[in-house]
Amino acid sequence: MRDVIVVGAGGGGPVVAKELAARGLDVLLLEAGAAFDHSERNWSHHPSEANNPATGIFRFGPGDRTLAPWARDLPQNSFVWQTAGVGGSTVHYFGNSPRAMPGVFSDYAGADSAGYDRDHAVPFGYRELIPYYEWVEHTLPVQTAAMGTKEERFLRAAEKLGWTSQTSKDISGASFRPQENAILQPAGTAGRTADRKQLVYPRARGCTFCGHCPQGCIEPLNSPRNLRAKRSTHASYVPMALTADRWTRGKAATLVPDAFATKIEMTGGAAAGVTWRNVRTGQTTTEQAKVVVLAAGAIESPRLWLNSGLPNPNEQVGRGLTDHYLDYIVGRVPAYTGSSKGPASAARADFPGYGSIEQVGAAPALQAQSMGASDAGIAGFYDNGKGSRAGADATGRLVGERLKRFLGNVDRLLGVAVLTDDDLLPENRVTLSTVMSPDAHGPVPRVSLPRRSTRTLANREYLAARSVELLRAGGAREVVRLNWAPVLLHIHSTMRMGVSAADSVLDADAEARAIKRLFIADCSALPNSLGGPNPTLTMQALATRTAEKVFVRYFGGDPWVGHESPVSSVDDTVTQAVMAAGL
Amino acid sequence: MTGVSRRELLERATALVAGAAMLDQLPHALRLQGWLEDAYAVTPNVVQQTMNGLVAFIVPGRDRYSRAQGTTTKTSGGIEAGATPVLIRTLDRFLPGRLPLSATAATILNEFAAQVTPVNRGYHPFSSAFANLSVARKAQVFQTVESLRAESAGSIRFLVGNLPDLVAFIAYGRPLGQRLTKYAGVADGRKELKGYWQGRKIAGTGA
Repeated sequence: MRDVIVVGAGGGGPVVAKELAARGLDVLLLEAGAAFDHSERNWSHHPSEANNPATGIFRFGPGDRTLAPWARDLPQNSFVWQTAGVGGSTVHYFGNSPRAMPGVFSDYAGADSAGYDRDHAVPFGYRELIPYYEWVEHTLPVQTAAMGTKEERFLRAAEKLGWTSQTSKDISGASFRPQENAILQPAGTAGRTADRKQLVYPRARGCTFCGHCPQGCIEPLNSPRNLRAKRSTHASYVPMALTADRWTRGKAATLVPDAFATKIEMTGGAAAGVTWRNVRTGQTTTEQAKVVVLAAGAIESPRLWLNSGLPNPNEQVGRGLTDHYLDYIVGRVPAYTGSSKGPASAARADFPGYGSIEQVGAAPALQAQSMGASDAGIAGFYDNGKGSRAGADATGRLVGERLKRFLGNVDRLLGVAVLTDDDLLPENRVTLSTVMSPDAHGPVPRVSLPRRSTRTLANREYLAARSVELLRAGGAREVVRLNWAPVLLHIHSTMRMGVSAADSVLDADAEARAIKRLFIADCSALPNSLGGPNPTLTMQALATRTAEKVFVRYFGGDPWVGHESPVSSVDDTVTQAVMAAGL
Repeated sequence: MTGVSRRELLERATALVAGAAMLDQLPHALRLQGWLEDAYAVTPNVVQQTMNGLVAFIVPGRDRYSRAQGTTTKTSGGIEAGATPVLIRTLDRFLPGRLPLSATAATILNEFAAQVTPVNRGYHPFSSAFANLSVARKAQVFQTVESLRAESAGSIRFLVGNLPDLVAFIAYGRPLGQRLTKYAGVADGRKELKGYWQGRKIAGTGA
């Protein structure tokens, strides 16, 4: 019997695995997708190879890419961007690591408290989470982003508009700043040359400004896996979990890739193990465990719960999906912006009570894709009655000559993503599809987003207007608001913790209310959309807290956050451990 | 196909998409009527023509599909970039089945195309009704699909709603597409570091 089985090696599962392996527990980490071994050889900078939703290395599907991706039933114009494989969606994420808005926590008493989704507040105070933030920020590590041209233009535009410059990690008011990113700051030749020969570790260290965050990060060339610039869990928490016997006096976790969990086993009202299917051989395996931690993501975690036939007494499993109702605003600038270079996003502005906006850049294929998604029709033809431009020159998808005009020079674009503070609605949810055929792992998930609250819609309009102002102040001559259809990059709160037992799946310690010894440690555990900031850091801080709760509650241990100093994933001891283990 | 009500249009399209997703579960009679029959009958040539018509709509070039829709441009487009075969492969891999998803998508576009334009009017160089449309009429096809509000039409809105961004992604991921954007190409690093905002390399904590 294992001490702990963690289901999912994405953004949250490896955090729990590393923390508990470091305490000496016997941890099994299951991942449905590929191991992503030898990523320095097998990943690609080309979006066409990395990000194609059907055939790409980072699609949501089995490691054997001759097979189809795993199906989802999406009954609306929408797009889900998730990656299966070790690291999960952190292999393609931008590394943006802001803290949440204090207003979404239960202890918030600010004058603007009515401006948040208070019905679904975090069931403990902001100050309680800060030591966990600090622990994760040191472990990853999270650092202030360096600027390229596009960031400099964004930040100068915000300054020109008279917005407040923020110098703290904590959000205390409407303000702008460079991102706090889980990306190592450039050192040596990094960011200073395009000459491949000079971009080899250790001559280059940290971010090389290659512009390929969404294609994974293998930079600098020849760097040990734990010293890759972008701190996906593939580069940070997973190597630490697998070498916990080397860099500390723990027990190395066991990682099993290609293992699609199909059932949470129960005994006497408590979780007792996991059954999974090897996606390459079809073989089924069951292992017992004292504790199970579910971290399969905000779509697959409720699916697994429902397919396992676990109790759902208040019918909240899968309900309340929040996604920041993302939008994209892009402008053409008659000058160089370097939009295809550097970190995908390294500058942001936060508007408590409304949400956040952030600068975004990417290679041409992803820029083009981002201009083709909309619920407001096609710019210049029709708008589906959703024609609010928020001050832009047009709204809707770009096609034809207008698309070609925008993409006539990718390095003269300036893009801004809108991250809305969106209200939780029960009808936005994950269920089991009755339309599509079950796959080898049971009924497939259906992700329905039928409605948005009035406040969510108003927040999105407010943020879109701020984005347009910023782009114009940044020199954009032609600005388009895409008015995206739901683009599911930030997917939260479908298995949320909460104050009310009637309105949440998890208690304040992230343990399932209906099933003891079952915890959840992915973005589905978040109680709300955090007020707009990108969710990964908060989810990882919460996962750290959850690991501590597991250790204290079921293994008789003591808490460590606030009592010990964390070891950074880039520490020499970890590097030596990773190299000795041949990772 | 003419004289079909919006309700019938929706029902047939819904059956078609459902057929692509759960073919084995569909009643035999349903599989053999309406659009599903058309979809099975669609030839690879018509699928390719339809997808060429779609690619030309999103990223027009100097090809005959772009000319047929009324676009004149001095620069190359998605068809010359080789986007069409990649688009077909991507669709068919995304949801494999006896009925390729590219055939499903092509049939939907062509059936809706027949709805938005009068029959026997004008010159029709292609076997695909969609490919024969003008730019404005192609936009009208998308508008018609997006106006389907019934819950049962959700999967149609998903499929058709994602076609423009998928085409754009594929076309601009091709070498020629990248050149159209003056992209410097993939690289392991860039000379792009401008330093730190206000010289600050560390953020404080203020809570």
